[in-house]
Amino acid sequence: MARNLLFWLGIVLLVGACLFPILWMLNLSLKPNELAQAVPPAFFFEPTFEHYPTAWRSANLGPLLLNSVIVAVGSTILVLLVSVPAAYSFARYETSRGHLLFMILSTRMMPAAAIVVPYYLIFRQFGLLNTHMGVILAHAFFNFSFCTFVLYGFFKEIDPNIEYSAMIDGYSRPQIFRKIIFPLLKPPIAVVTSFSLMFSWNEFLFAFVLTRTDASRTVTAGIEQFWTMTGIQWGPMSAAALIAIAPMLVFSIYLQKYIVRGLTFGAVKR
Amino acid sequence: MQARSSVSTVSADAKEAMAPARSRWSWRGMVEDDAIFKWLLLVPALIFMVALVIYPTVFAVVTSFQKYILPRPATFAGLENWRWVVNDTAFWSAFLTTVKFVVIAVGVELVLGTLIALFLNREFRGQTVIRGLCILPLVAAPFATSLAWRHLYNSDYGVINYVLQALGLPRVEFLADSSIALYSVIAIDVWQWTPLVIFVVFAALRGLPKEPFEAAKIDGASAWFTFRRLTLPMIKPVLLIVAMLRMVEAFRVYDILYGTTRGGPGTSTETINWLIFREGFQYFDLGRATAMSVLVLLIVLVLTNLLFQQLIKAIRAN
Repeated sequence: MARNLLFWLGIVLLVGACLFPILWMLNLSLKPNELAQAVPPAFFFEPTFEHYPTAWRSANLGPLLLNSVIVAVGSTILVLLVSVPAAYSFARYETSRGHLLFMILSTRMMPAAAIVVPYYLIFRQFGLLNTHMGVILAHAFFNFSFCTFVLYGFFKEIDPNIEYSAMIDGYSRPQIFRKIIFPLLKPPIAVVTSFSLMFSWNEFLFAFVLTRTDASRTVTAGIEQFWTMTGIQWGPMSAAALIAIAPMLVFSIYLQKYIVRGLTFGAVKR
Repeated sequence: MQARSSVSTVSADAKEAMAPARSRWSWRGMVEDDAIFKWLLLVPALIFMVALVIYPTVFAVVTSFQKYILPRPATFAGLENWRWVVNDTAFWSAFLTTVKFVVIAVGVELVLGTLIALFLNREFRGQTVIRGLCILPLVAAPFATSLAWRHLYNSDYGVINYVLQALGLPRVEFLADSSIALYSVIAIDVWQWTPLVIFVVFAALRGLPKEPFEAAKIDGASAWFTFRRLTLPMIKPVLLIVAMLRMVEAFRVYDILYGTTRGGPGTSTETINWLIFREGFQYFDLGRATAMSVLVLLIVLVLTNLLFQQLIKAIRAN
């Protein structure tokens, strides 16, 4: 009994630690301005909902959210178009005997800071700063190695004999893809799509550096504007931050299935 | 040489003869021919690599040999930037800070995550919901949550100091004290990423065979002994993979610094990432920024290569 009690105490502590900063964000977003920096901190108070409309208007959150959607979806589609065929080629034909695959994988090791400056300069040259395409390309770069590697692992598990026997039965290559490979692809595509979307949504450095206006800035980078010379506007900023993370918090229910496989490059299977 | 080439010609001819009567270079023929098809599939990936990896890298190397301070145009500068970076104490101290950050953060995350995974490894009511809640730090944008942490850490109105005071403990300047700020930022990283370790180790624990543990129980082995001699060796490959992934990610920490200390107080939380960002986008000295970038790239490639070899060795040995 005492042991059981201790266990649940541990669970409460764990869940509390995981949730507290997020709940505190909620607390700040509902707090009247005069209480935002109150000493001692106010845990209970008459909530105000004024920060949400304020944040929405002053930070232009509608367009920023739309930018986030465009960038996340765009970079995910781009990365799938590139990495699905590549992963298939690596898995089925051992193309370049793994050297190219390793090279692609090692781009993941490139420190973000080491490429943000050349990206900035190159994108400036090509007029890609402050465009959706610029951020899409940068995010696609990050997800490329991840997607290729995870898909490679999945393709490796598909028995090539299925394809050979289909070939003997007279199926052409496009038919084999349409009728055999694509149906098997659904779970891995779900994994890489989820993680690519999440990465892009949460990414800050590139979304911040490659955009200077609200024209293509994502919502995660957009929260930054509440940090003014006169200080931080805690209420509106927390409201905006919560709006920015809410889609991913909801998405996590779906993501839970894939989290281990996704976050470990497919190296750890369930 | 002569003989070999003629053999290969023969076998190629034989292949051609066996293949359906279709021209090898027609669209259809290329798709059906494995040797061409496998490279055809890689065309988008190769374009991608050249445009987004190789070209920027070459560009960075070239720029690192230029005097390039925006908005003035670039001029050739030889080794000047390189000499400056290699002799720059700020660079090497930022490098040390980064290493400290990576080692401590990843170390704590691994130990804490493993302990919590062991703790959660049993059946209990509401386990799915509780695990679902533990994921949330992972999926929330780090920049957004770091802002909440900034409030929690505040020395005047922050909740953590309020609790410390209520417990009769001294007030702590979490973000303003240069000897503590780095650890405060590490704590945010630990909060965010420990759930990843929990989930991965948890998955590994669930996949372990039952028999050895039952045998150990019958033999009356202590919990510590079972962990040291059974569990740990079995989950070691998984731990190594997570360690590697986390190290790579921790090396590029940026968001939470921007949200909290911005490199300060002084230079106490200046990581390499931060330094490059400052040099490039605040001072606009792109020559120096790219020289740093290339140097970091080289260091990271060497380090990850060493780690990679260790990892492969460890997995093979298992």
